[in-house]
Amino acid sequence: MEPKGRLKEIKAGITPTIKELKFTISRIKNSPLSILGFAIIIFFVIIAISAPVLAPPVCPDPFRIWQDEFTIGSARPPGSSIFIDFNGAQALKQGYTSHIFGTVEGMDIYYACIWGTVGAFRIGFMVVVFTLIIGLIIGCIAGYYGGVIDEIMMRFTDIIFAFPGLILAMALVIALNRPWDIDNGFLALIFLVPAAIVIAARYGFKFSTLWSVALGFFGLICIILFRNILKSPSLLPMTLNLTDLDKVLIALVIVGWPGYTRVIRGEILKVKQEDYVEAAKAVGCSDLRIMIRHILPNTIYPILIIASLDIGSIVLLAAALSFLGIGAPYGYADWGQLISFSRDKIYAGRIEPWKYWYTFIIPGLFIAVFTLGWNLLGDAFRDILDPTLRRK
Amino acid sequence: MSAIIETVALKKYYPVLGGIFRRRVADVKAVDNVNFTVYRGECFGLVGESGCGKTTLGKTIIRLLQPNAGHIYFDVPEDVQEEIKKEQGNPKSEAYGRLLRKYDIATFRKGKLQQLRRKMQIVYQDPTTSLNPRMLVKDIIAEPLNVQGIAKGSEARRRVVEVLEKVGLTERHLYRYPHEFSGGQRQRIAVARALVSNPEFVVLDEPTSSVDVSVRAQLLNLFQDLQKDLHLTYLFVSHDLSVVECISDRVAVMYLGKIVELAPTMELYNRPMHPYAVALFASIPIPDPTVKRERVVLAGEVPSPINPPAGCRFHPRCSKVMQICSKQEPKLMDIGNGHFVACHLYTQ
Amino acid sequence: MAKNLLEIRDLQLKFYTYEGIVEALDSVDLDLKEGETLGLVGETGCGKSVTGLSTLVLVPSPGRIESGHVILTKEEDKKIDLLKQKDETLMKIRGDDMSMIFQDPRSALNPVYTVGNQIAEVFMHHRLKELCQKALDEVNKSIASRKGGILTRFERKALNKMIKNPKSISLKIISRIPLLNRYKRRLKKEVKKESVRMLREMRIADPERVIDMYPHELSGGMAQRAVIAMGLACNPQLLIADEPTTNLDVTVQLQILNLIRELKQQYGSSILYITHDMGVIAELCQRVAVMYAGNVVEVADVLEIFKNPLHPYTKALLESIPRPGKEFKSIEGTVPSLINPPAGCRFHDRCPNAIEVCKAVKPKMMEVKKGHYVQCHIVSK
Repeated sequence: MEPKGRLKEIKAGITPTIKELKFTISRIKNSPLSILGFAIIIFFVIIAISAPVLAPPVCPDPFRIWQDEFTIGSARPPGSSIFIDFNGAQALKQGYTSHIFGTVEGMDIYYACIWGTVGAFRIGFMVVVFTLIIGLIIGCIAGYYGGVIDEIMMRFTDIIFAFPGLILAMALVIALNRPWDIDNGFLALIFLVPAAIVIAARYGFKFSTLWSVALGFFGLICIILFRNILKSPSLLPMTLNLTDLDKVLIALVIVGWPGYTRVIRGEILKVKQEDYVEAAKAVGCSDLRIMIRHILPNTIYPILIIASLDIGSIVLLAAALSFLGIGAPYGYADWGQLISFSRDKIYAGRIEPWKYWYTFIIPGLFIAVFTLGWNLLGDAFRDILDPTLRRK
Repeated sequence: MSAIIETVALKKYYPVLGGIFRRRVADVKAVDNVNFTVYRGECFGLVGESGCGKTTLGKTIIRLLQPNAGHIYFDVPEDVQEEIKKEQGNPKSEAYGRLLRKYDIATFRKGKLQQLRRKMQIVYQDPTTSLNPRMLVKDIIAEPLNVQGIAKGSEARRRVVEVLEKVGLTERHLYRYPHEFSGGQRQRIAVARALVSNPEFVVLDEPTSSVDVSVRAQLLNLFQDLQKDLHLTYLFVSHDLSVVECISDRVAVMYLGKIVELAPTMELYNRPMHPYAVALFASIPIPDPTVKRERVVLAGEVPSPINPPAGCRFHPRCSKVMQICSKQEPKLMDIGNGHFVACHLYTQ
Repeated sequence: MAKNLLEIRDLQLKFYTYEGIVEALDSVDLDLKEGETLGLVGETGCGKSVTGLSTLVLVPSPGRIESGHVILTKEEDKKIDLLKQKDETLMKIRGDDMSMIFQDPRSALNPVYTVGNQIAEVFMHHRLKELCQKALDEVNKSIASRKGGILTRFERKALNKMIKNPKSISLKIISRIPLLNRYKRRLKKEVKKESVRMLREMRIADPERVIDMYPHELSGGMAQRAVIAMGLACNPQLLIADEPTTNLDVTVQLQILNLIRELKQQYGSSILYITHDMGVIAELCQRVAVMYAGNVVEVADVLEIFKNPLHPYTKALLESIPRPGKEFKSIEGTVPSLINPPAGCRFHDRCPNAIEVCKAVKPKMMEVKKGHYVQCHIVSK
C-alpha cells in the first residue's frame, strides 16, 4: 500500500499548483497581445536553440562571424555568391550556398543575426539574473528592516539611479578597460560593508535620521583618509582580466540593479504589514524564514514582470554599446555590432538612399522584434499575474 | 483559580515621528497603565471601541509587541507571586531583578521568547489576510511545528491532521490554498494553526467580526468546545458586545488605553457602573422591536490617544462629570463581587 | 393605503465571470411604500447589495441585468421603469430623486477632494439653476445698492446665461478668463452656504471647519455624516442605505441611527435599509424583507417578523443570534454557490422541513397573512 499512498500524496500536492497553472494559461489565451508576445519569444528561442543547425559555425569559435577578407569595408547585397577564400571554402563545406542576407564588412549578416540571437539571450538572462539577485538582497534587507539601514541603502541606490543608463554603462565599460587590481579597498567594500549592514540590521539598530546622516559623513571621511592604506598590500593579490563581454555584463548589472531594488523594496513594504507576516512572527519564525517563506513568494510577481520587460531593454542597451564600439569585440556575432558596421552606409547618397538597406534593416528588425516580444510578454505577465486583476 | 496572565502597570506607546529629523515628538498611548489578571481556564472578554487599545493590549500580552513599561507575568506559581509582591517594595534588590528576569515575560528576549511562543498564540480578525495566500493549508498549519522544532515529517503531518479534525475540517483540505475556502473555514484554519502547538493561552482578536451571522454561531460553538477539550484560556477581544456577552466569563471595558470597568459578565451587563460602560451597553441594538430601551446617546467623538484628556479620560463626554474628574485619574477599585470600576463616582 | 414608491418586479441579475455565470438575483420582487423604512436583511452573498445597486442601475460589470422592471413613482403618480431609461435621464434621477449611501465612508469619499467640494458637486449637478438664481439675486442686490461696477453687471449677464444654457461655449470661454469669471466665485459662495447648511443638518457641531477637511482627517462617524449629507443634499424621495453603520463603533452607530431617524422625519424620504444586523432592523425599520441566495424569501411588518417568522430561513436566522446563557444555534450547511444554484427552492438542502416538491419547483411568493408574504411550499400550503 505504501507506494500507492505516496503517489496519491504527490498527486494531491501538485493538484492545486496545476489548477493555478491552468487558470493562468486560460488567461493567456484570452489576450491576443500576449499570445503574440509568447509567439515572438518562442520563435526566437527556436532560432537560438537551433542555431548550430540553421547557421553551422564556420570558424572554430561559433560566435565569430565568418568573414570574407577581400570585401572588408564594403557591403554586398542579399543573394550574393560566396567568394572562395579560406572562410568561404569552409562555409561552402558547411552547406552555405550564398549570402542570404548579404554581407557587411565582409561578414555574413545571416550568420551574425542567428548567432546574435544566442548572444542576446545570453546577455539578457545573465544580466537579469545578477541584477535580480543583487536587487533582491538589497531590497529585502532595506525593506524588511527599515530605519537607518533602509536610508543608507536607498540613498546609495538613488545615487546610481541618478545617472542616465547608457552614459553610465559607457563610462563603466571604458573604466573597466584596464586589467583590474583587486585591492583592499575593494575587498572591504564588497565584503565588510554588506556584512556590517546585515549584522546591524539583525540586531536592529534604531538610529534616527540625524544619526544616519552623521554616520554617512563619518564613513565617507574614513574612506577618503584611509584610501591609501587600503591600497597596499592587498590580502588577495589578484588581477582580473576582463573580456569585453564581461565588461558589458558588469556595466549593465551596475546600471540595472537600482530599478529592481526600488520595486522590491516597495512590494516588501506593502506585504510587511499584512497580518500573515505578523502571524508568522507570533508562531516564532526567524526573520530570514519570514523573508523567504512569507514575504518573497508574495512579492515576486511584480519583479517577474519587471524582469521580463527588462530583458528587452538590456539587449537594447547592449546593442547600443556595441554600436558605439565599446561592447562586443570585433567580429563577435552581435546585432549592435552589425549596425555599427553599417554606420556610414545608412545613407548612401542622394541617388540611391536605400542601397544598403540590408545592412541595418535586417539586424535592426531582429532587435526591434526581440524587444517587442519581451515587452508584450511583460505586459501579459502583468495582466495575468496581478492578483487584483486575476479573479475578475 | 490560578492566574495565568497578570499584568502590572503595562504600558505600550507608539512613537509619533515628526520634525525634520523624524524625532519622536509625541506618543500614541495605546495601552496606558493596565493592571488585570486572567485566570486559567476562563474566557476573558475585552471590549471597547476602535482606538481604545484592546488589540494592542492583546498583542502586547503575548509579546508580539514590546511593552514600553510594566510587567507581564505568565503562569507564575502562587509562592513565587508572593515573593514578587514582597520584593516589589525594594525594586533595586538583587532578588527582585532575578525574579523578574525569570518570570516577567516583558523582559524576555529571543531565546526565551521562542519557547514562550509555544504556549501563547493568537487568532486574527480577518482570515483572508492572516493566512499566507501562497501557502498550502498543510504548510500553514505545520509551520509552528517546524519552526519550534516540535515535530517533523510524518509526525508533523499526523498532528496537523489531528488538529484539522478538531476544528471540523478533513484531510482532504490539506492540499488547497486558502482562497478556495469560505470565510468560516478560513477562520477555522487560522484556529488550527494557533492550536497545533498545544498552547495554554490563546488571544482571539475579533475572530467573528468578518464572518456571517450564521457562521458566527458555528465558530463560537467551536471555541467553546475547544476550550473544554484542550483546557485553554481565552482572551476574547471584540467590539461586538453581544458576542462577548455570550462567550465570556469575565469582561473588561477599555477606553483610550485604560480599563474602566471589569466584572463577571452577567454582573457587568446587568449592572454597568462606569458611565462609559453604561452608554456602551445602552447602544447595543436589540433584535426585538418590542423592547424600548433607554437610549443614552454618547455625544462627541473618541478623543485622540496622543493627547488624552487630563484626569479621567472620559470626563469631557461624561454626563455625570464632577470637579475631581478633570484633575485626578481614578484608579480601578474593587467594589465587591469581583466588580472593579475606575470612576470617582464610586470611590468616595 | 400608502402607495408604492418603488416597485421591483422579476429582477434577474447575472454576473458573467471566468468561473461561470453567477445567478446573483433570481426574480426578485420588492415593494417600497412611500414614507416607510424597508429593511433588507440577509447574509453575505445573498444579493442585497446588488439589489440596491440595481435600483440605481449601477451594477458593475461583469454583472448584467437580464430582465425585470424597477418602477419608480415620481411626483404626480408618474411611473417610470428605470431599466428602460437612457443614461442621461438616469443621471438626472440619481442623486436627485434617489440616492445611495455606502458602507465604508472613507472609500465612498474621494480622498483628494475636501468634503465641501464633494457635497458641492452634488449641488452643482442637480441644483445649478436654483443656485444661479440665488447668486443672481445677490448680484442684483449689490447692483441696486450701487456697490457694483462694470464687472458686477457682467456677472449678472454671465449668471443669466448660465441659467438659460449652462453648456454654452461662450460660458466656457468666459470661465477661463481671470477677471470675467468672477461669477463663478459668487456661485461657489452660494454652493458653500448650502453645503454648510447640509452639514449643520447632520448635527455636525462646526460645519465651517469640517467643510474644508479632507476625508482622511475625519473620524468614521463624521465621514459617514458627510456621506449622508451628500445623499440627502437634493432631498431625494428614496434613500438607499447599504450597511452604513457596519464599520462604525457601536456608540457612533447609535448616533447615526438616531440621525437617520430624525432626518427621515424631517425630509420625509423613504429608506431602503440594507443590513445583516437584526438589531438595527428592529431599531429602525417598519417593514422587513429577508433575502437568501438571490431571492426574497419573506416580507412582513417588523413586529410580525420577529414574533412570527414563517420562512425556515428567517426562523433559523433569528435563532442563530447569540443569546447569553443559551447554546449557539447555527444553520447547517453553507450558502450554495450561485454558479450552479440548486434547483427548486434554493434553501432546500439546508431546510429542516424540506419536502419533495422543494427540490424541484421554485416556490412562489404568497400572501399568507395580511401584509406577510412568504416564498415557501410548506407555509403556503
